[in-house]
Amino acid sequence: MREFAPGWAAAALLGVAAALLAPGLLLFLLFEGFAFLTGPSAATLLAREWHPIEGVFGLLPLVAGTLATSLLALLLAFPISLGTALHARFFAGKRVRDLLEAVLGVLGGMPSVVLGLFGTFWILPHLGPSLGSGVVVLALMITPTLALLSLGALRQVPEELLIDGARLGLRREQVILRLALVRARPGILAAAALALSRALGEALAVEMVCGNVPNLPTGLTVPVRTLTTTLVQEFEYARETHAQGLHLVALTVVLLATLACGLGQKLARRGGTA
Amino acid sequence: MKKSVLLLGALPAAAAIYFFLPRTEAASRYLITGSSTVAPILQQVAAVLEERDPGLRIEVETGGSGRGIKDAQGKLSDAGMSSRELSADEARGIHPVPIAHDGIALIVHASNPVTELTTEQVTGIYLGTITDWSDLGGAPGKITVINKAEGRSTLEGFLAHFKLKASDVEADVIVGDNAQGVRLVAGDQRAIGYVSIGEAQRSAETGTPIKLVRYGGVQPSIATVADGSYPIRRTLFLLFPAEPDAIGQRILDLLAADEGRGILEGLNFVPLGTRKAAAPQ
Repeated sequence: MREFAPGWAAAALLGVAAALLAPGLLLFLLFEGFAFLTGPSAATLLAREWHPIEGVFGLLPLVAGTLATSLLALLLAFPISLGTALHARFFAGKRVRDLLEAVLGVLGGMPSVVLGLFGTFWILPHLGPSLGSGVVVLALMITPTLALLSLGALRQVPEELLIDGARLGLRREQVILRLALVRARPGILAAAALALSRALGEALAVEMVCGNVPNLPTGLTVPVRTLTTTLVQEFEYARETHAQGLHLVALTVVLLATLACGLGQKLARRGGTA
Repeated sequence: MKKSVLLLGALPAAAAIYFFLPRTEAASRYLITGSSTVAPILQQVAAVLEERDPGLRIEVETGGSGRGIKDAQGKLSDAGMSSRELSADEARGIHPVPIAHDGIALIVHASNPVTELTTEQVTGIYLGTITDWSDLGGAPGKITVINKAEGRSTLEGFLAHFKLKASDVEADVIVGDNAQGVRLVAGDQRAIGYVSIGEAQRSAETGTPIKLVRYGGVQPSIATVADGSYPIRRTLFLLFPAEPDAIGQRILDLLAADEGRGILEGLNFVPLGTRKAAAPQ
């Protein structure tokens, strides 16, 4: 029989608290946004415009702006990250690999405001405040982490598998493409989903470069606004209906990010059984 | 191991105890909420008053003029701050006292040859009917139109002055605060934006490459706001739930004294000539 340990009890309590945190947060957002859903402005949620001071709260441009910046950033970052990871795992010498990992580690830990400033001074003069600038800044932000996680997934592939492949007469490209990449696919997909959810939730760096005009993202040069940048710019000054509407905006970001994570895990599991 | 787990448990316990402890200092706390344009004035006033009276605690919280009005009406604060006039509905039961004037200046990049704009030109730029600087006597190039986020008083003041609707403005960039607007104009030779005159003048004087545009034939400056000749001008208010109380009166007295004028001028606001309470509309 074990004696009662208050420390472990506290740890268990903390665990329960952590588990309750996420649904609690969702409930809070839903509760705050509920008054909006039952109010007269609810019908405007489906509008194509976002003009809170005129009582129009169309989520479409914000959701479209968020998806466009994040998905295009992932599209840009994924091949670069995968190429970097493959190079580090199979082609680079030890010194180059160590250096690459150190650099990626530093870049991955870069605060988003620094990336935003970099974007303001180096990307804005070329691309202007636009979807394109937002995509480049977000891609810069997620590439290092995506590359490091992909490298980690490639490292998990057992060395014997690759040696066996080579013994069976497979060429180096075949070993990499047919064995290593297939085996590492779940990990790489999970990394991509994580990167996507980070991009969906990023606010500060995007706000500094994407223009923040609630347009539909019809081209790379169009200024767009995301759900998170709307919160950054408007929350402090929003009252009543506007504030309630912003709680729904927050809820939508959380749901999108959760969806991205869930999708990634599902893809990763499917990849694992292949 | 066991010790560290104990420690881990002690942290939230301590936080919980702190959270539920009765607040003894709440009684002497004076809360002022509202406009972020007005807040820096009150922060400096609070610092002076607290130094004179160590028992006094004045807290200044921002959240826009809307919050300042709501909190004052609901008696959630001791005083509110507003950078715009109150509507008849908002002024019910509130006692607004003007404390200073401020203006909104149109700003362009320092290298822009355009030095003056008319009402029609500004309206055209923001409605998207004038899109190139060559139409305004400047070097050819597409105009980058900078607007402010909805909910900010500067936006409302600007829209009201030019009789524009938020949804009719064709903006290229929407910014949150004044500083962001100044930074963008400084970095884009074809940009135009509008910010508080105080902010614009301070930035231009400290070497930021922006220029204040003459409007209505008048150069925007603290001086032209003070003499009333610059047209885009607004009044900053303190809002009291009733007659100003003792602490409120001390704040108003300080603002009326030389020390208060020094604070206002230091922040590039225009002190009032003579102060009198505005009658609720």
